[in-house]
Amino acid sequence: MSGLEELPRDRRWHQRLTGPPWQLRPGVSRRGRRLLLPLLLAAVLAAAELAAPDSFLTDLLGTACIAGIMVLSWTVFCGPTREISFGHAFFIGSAGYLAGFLQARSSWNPWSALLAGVGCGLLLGAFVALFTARHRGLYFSMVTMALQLTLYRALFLRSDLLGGEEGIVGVRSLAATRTGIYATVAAALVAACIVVDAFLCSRTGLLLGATGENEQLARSLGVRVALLRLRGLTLAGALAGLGGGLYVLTQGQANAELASEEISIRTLLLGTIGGLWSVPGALLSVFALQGVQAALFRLTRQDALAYTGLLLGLVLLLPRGLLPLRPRWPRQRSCPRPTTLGPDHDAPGLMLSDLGVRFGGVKALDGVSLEVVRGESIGLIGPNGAGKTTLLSVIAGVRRAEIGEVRWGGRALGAMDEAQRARLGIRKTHQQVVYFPQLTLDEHLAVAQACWQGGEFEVDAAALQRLAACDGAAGEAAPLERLPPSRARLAEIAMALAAPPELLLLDEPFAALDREEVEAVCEAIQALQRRGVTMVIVEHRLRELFRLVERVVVMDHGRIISRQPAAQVLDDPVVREAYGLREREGNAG
Amino acid sequence: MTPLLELLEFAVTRLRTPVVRGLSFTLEPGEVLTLVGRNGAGKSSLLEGIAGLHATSGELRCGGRPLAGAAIPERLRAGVVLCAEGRSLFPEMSLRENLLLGGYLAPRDAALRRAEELLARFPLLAERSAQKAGSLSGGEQQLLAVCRALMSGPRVLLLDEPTGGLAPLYRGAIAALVREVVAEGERSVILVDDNLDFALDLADRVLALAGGREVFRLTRSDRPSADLILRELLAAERRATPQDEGRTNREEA
Repeated sequence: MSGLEELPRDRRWHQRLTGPPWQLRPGVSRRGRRLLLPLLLAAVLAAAELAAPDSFLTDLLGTACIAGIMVLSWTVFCGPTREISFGHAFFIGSAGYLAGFLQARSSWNPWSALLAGVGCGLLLGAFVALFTARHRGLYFSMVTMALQLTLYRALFLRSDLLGGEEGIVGVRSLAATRTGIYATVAAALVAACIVVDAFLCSRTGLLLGATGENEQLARSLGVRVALLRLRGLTLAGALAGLGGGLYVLTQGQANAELASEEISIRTLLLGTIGGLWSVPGALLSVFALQGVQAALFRLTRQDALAYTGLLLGLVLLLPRGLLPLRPRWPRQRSCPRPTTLGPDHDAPGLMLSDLGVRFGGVKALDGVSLEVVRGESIGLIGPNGAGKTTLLSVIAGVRRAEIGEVRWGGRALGAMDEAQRARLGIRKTHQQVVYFPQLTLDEHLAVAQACWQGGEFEVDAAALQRLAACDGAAGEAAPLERLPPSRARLAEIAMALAAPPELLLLDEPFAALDREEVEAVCEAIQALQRRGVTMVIVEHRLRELFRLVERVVVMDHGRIISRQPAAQVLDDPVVREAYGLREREGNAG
Repeated sequence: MTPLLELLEFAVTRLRTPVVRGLSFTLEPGEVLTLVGRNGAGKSSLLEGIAGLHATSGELRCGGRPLAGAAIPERLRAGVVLCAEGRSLFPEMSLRENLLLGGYLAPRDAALRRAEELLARFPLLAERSAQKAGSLSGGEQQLLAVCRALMSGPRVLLLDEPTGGLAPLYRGAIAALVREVVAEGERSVILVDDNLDFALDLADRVLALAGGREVFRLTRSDRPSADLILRELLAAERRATPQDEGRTNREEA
């Protein structure tokens, strides 16, 4: 290699990476700082009560506190996942009605009724998570809207038992005085704020956010998406239940409006205007807009038009929200216990038997059989359309083979999907770069380590440093969507270094990389090889590939046409013809 | 002779960050200009800026016609066509439909004729013309993306990583296509490709970028090679480094 080793490294990266090996634990170092927001909120709410006890202001703030809990319940799930819940009133109304019914009709203690409301929201959240396990985007929104409308129109508006349009009246309040009510809802909001922030900054919150950013990539890392969504929606439902229960048990009645689409839309708007995935944003939008709405009403007595205009203006002028501050997952410098967790070299490796896949009339794989022993790296080459990527996809579980079998470690992988195989230690990188657009490189590594199944191990800091050094100062804290696409490819390799799989399937790892980046990726691959990671590498840049593998398998038209040592493969006339090499082109890449 | 493309103090801003600054050059008819530089130097952003995908400032003319601030369809009508990195195909549409969409500004008969010519040239694509683009292999998708860019008969073809994921056989075919585009001396190509041997082999001129600025130019008479380019880039970085170090030292102080 020419003098590339002499290229100047970015100083700040160097300083940051010459410490102990990397260890990423989401959010731990900022735990103290994260308490600032709830403390500030508590102080402001207390100051308002001290300054103007039992006043219009505290009534307004009390209402805003309940609205804040409802909006936080929206933010805790819809923020990280980017789903749009159009039917949040389904949780709020159900919990409110249940709490009101139990108190007014069954004479439950108001606090027990509130707890029952929270439990109701929690169960409904779990129900919606299971019901929408396969629904994303527009379909999720439609399901939530349908559930809310069904409940509102078919039950709350029509049921005599629930009081019809008037609803349930005469519900006993949680506290006897206005001050007591205010203190209750304020404390509930502060608690909700702490819970939501802790959840979003936790490992679950990180992985849920990663899933919202790019579910395909998250699955390929082994993330249990359905379980994460269940946790998120359960918490969202419980918080919405808290909001609904508090509303009924402080206002003294549960009417059908609580379950109406107006509440759903209002919650959605405030959550969006504050800034998706932003707890401070959600709180700011609730308090600021509640105040603005009250002021408008006092001034004009006809606030709807002006308020709607204000909301539209905010959405147009600030599309990312009033305060788009998503949670951060900083890197930790704690030194892990160094252990050697290399794979079991005596265990069987990868065994492919007679794999077949068709795309319409085209045979993408036609009777492919191959064995790769543990710790071995093989190259997989062939002309375009030969079936290389399809083969990697079948091994990784992205695509099913119509016939044949894939075995890893002696175990038939059968119907296991990509995430299940990733949890067995099988991971595939992507030919077209995929990444979590809003996350930084550090946060990509945090996601990879949060998915790590093994014990603690020592990350190859030198190789990671070399990859990070390609990033330059500009990329230090920037989300990957703001950086060139090559950074995303480096991030994917870095994730493999930070949490090494046992079988790594690399699909064109050098595509669109410059020479320095190729060197850094080579170094990373060699570091993984030293750990004993088994690899199948698809690559057209043969010069670089032959540095990394001893054995090369050549495919054409879905079949394996040659298996040769790397040094001899291009001497095979069959390979040369299929691959389009007219004369000896050692540097064909 | 009027240059086919003229840039004067051209700058590109991407996601509110300036990525190309004060670039001035002309592109003559029949010329291949290869952009070189590290990843992140601003090469792709420059192509995207010329194509109208990002906010730009400065002057941009195609055949004397001012295009700065023009909408993308206007640039396409002027003959500025981008084949972007990452393919950007319509995965649920067939290969043939993707190809025809590339020529939607041309008369239908002409577009159909052009599509048939391209399919005849690449039997690999012809075999799969009814297949969904999303189910093609990476290399086939890349080839389709390049062919789609040729469908509208570009005057200035902006090729970003056209050989990404292509085996040697098709790299040669793409090189032949590029040569054919410029052969009649009426059309030009700006090329970005990390396969320097491929890109330099086609280049009439080389323009090197670093940090969004021009750092040097080479012509065919300079016999540009990958090693020469890397040496020059390294030298340019060294020239820039003392200032950076000075700045860093001041920051540390």
